[in-house]
Amino acid sequence: MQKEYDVIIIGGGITGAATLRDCALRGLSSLLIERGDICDGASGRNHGLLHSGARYAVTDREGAEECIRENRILRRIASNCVEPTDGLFISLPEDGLDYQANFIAKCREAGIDAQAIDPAEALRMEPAINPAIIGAVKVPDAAVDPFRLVDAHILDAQRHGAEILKFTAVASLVKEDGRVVGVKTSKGDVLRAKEVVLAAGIWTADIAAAAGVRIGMMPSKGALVIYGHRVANMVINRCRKPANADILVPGDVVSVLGTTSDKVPMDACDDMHATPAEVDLLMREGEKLVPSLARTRIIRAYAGVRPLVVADPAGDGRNVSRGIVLLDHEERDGVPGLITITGGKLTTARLMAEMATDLICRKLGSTAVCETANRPLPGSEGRKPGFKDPFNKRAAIGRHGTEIGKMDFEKGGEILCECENVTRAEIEYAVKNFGVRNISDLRRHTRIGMGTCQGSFCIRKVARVLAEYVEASADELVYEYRQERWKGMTPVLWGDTLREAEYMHKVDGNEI
Amino acid sequence: MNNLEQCLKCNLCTLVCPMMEVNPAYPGPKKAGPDGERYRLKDPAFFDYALKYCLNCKRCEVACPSDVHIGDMIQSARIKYGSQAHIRGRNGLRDWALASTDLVGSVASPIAPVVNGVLKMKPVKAVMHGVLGVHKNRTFPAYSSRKFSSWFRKQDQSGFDKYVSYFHGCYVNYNYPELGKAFVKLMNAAGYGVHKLEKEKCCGVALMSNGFADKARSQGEVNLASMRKAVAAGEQVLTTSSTCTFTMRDEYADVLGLRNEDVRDSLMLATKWLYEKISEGEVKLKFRKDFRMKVVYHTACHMQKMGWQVYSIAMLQMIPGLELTVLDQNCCGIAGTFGFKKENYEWSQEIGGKLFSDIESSGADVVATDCETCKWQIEMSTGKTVLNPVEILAEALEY
Amino acid sequence: MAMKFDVVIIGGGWAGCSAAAQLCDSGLKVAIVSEGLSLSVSGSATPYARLAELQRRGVTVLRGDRAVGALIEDGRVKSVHTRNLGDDALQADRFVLATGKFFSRGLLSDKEHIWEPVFGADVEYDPDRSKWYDPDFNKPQPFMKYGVKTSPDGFVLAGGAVVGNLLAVGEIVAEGYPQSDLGKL
Repeated sequence: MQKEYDVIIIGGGITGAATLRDCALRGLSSLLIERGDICDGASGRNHGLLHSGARYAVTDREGAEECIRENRILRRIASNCVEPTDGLFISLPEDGLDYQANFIAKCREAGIDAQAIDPAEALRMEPAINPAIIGAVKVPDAAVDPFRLVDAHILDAQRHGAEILKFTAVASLVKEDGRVVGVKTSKGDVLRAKEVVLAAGIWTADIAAAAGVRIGMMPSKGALVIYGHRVANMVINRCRKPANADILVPGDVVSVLGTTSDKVPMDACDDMHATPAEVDLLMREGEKLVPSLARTRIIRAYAGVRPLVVADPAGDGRNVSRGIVLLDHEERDGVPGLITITGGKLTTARLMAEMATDLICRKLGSTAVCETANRPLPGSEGRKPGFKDPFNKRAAIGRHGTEIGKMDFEKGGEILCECENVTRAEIEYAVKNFGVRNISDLRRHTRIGMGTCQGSFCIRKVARVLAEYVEASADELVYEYRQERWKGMTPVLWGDTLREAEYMHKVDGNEI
Repeated sequence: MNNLEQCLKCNLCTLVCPMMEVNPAYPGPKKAGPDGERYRLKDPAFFDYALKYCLNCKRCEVACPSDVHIGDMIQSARIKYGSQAHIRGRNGLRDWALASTDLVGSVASPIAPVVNGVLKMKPVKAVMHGVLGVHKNRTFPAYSSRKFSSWFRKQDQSGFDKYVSYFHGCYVNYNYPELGKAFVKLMNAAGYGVHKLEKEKCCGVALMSNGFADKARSQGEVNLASMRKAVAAGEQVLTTSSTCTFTMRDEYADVLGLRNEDVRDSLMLATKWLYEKISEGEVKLKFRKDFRMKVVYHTACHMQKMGWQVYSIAMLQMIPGLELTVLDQNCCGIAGTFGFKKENYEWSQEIGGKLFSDIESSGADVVATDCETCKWQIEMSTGKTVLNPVEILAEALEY
Repeated sequence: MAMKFDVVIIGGGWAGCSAAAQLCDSGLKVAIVSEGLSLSVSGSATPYARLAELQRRGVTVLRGDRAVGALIEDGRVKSVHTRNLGDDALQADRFVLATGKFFSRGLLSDKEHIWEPVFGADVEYDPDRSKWYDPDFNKPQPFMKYGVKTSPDGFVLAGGAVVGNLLAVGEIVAEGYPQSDLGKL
């Protein structure tokens, strides 16, 4: 008799990973299936912002309350992924101060500690912001590393018995007597489960449709640019009705500016990239937040898709929710065995997982309670890089926290990626724990090649090391990575990035 | 001024870093500079104490095709993030003494014969090596029993139409007044009288590299105030030390954050000033016909950074009978007070090795260089006489 | 104030050093301005081997210095200013532009433009930024062909006119435009 899982989760983004962890902690036998690598979709293409909820306080009280609750939980359980930077909502002269007063009141109603700050004091706290500000509000926003957060969930799930199947697409949902009983993979295997959870972001609609379930989704593209270093150490927002390019987030050693919001066709979702026009818009607006951005090098631009759900599929798409959407298809569509969890935000993914897992448990008759809010994630036992650690370990400690003990720095202490201080030890750890095919996969778990040079100098060294572990030659690995980085560099190909491009081409042409 | 991401990671700077070549504990200019800076901006905990090995020779900046201020970035990080005590390590007293050129000089000068004699004694050297951490092989520059400033007070510099101001520096004042005397002779021959600055303190280079940035800043303020007065009186401020000049022109602003743009262009090495005056036809120097000297010119690292060796070389080439060869630019390894410290001695000598053998094999009578610490190092390591171009010019004058 | 030479070469990479060697062999007084090391040093024994050799042969080497501007009068370059020498301009009968492409900052660029910063030479490039590259990294890249325009004799063009004593050699010359023949000096 073929193995039957309690749960199969489709989608390896933060929602799927958090659901997998919750199921595993509640003792359910669980499998996550992902067509690409972990974080290939929107979870790896966002701001890396841990919302305080302030951005939603005026328009979406419920969303704001969810955010601040989850914000506090993640600071505790994912301390290694979260940097408690705090955030500022700044008012520029053209914004006026009317919005601010209401904003502060609404934040407080939602339980968000929003404090009006004198402009001079705000400039002392964060000297990079536009000195023309007429007001500022400090809120508990924070930076969160999405790759690290998803990895930590996956690791914890695996350590509690969950299984992961990556690089495997779902061809169809398997139905018997009107009930979803499993999935058929693109390789033709049938995997059975008592419940199947759709957590595939924007791709959820297509998978559901094949099983005769209609979910109205609207892809909304968000483009972002990465500046080469930290220009500010706090999250900077505009204190006005949310608009384009009004959030700057310090993400690890870079600064991420975004975003835009444009409806795109479904078939564009598999090839998301920022356009030169989007870059121009982002730059124009970003400089109003932090003027020094005008002189700071942009190392790449990228885009992701928000999986917005249309509440009434028959409607015109205006009735769109950015909130959490949990669909019990047994109840909604008469299709038992299938659940959809989507919408929401990176910040609220744990809550989404809790809601989905509660529903799964009800269906399966389990009384296990959710523990995800109380148990720290792997890597998050609070160790910070310090002066006592050798330098080649410090960046890895920052990325992996307490997981550092699983890396062999005795043998693998040599730094291979010099911008991001990635050592052979860290590469070996990533290969062993996450399974990678190429350098792009490796990047998500290590930051390899994500620095100023985008891998121009050291990627050949990295490729030679990785070729020892994967079924690809060093040359193939280099080309795959070059092409992937090129996609993000070409929209910003001028100035120093164009110089870098010439260097890259000469390195590869063996001219150097 | 933070241009860390103009760094394209080409690694050309790492090819020329003298410290990287001899000391594997030093991460090199790229990692210590722009790479490290990105991480330090995120969290000061990423400060790496290995940055103390940077010689501040600026060869990385000269090699950088992207104009990244690598050396400045490293110096600034040492000041900003490295607690001074940690940079100084266990040899706080020694570093303080080495850095306090002014104070030690004024104490030692009046009793120079005693000090010089004592510093040569083997038991004293052993104590200095063991207790103070100054390497026993190191020859200390001798102290002069009469300070340059005392000598200068007795000189009659009245009656000239035109004047220049002279920043003599600690070395001329306490150790080697001969260079200052040569400078005065040369200026007078050019038709210019010499004024001392109203107040002069050590330029601060030794203080900065030994972790006393605040003291360096306050001394810098004193020097800048004096220079402003000289410039207001229409006088150029001339120097005979490339490192003092570089420190006051560039490091004051780039590392210490002092405002010096109002005097920067008026502060220059005597050889540059002379070259310009001669080219403009305003000054004519007459040299002895019988002067003969075979000279190799060593470009000090800070001189190379300023790019002004062309002036010293051109001035030397004006002397008939002087046969000049320009050596390949290599670091001598002393890096100010760095080479005096016993833990650095071996590196210091290894770095200088290439230069020493070039000098030994050149067959020259004299090595010319614009830096006094290069002079100590080369004289100790090769036995050749090292002179400042100003001294050679003064000696060759028909006067 | 000026320093006078027969030829001043801007750019200390492979093209500039080769030009300097050739010209000093023919007895000319040569200066070479070399901002930073060139990528072409990777083939040399030591990073400064070629510049040091030129110095030994009497070439004035301005290492780590950058040409920041030029004085052009009546279609001829009169002098070049450098960062380190300030007011002391480099004067010469002939000038050689050998500053390479983007990496070596022979060409500068922003979102809309590509320009040659020392002499304001005319640059061949596509005004549409999205045409500067091929989306396939491994395909030939259009930006690698960009460079300054030269006359049939290899003299640099600025504002559409020939600069009569400014020659261009090496990668700074746009693909399809003639390289200068240094033998003519």
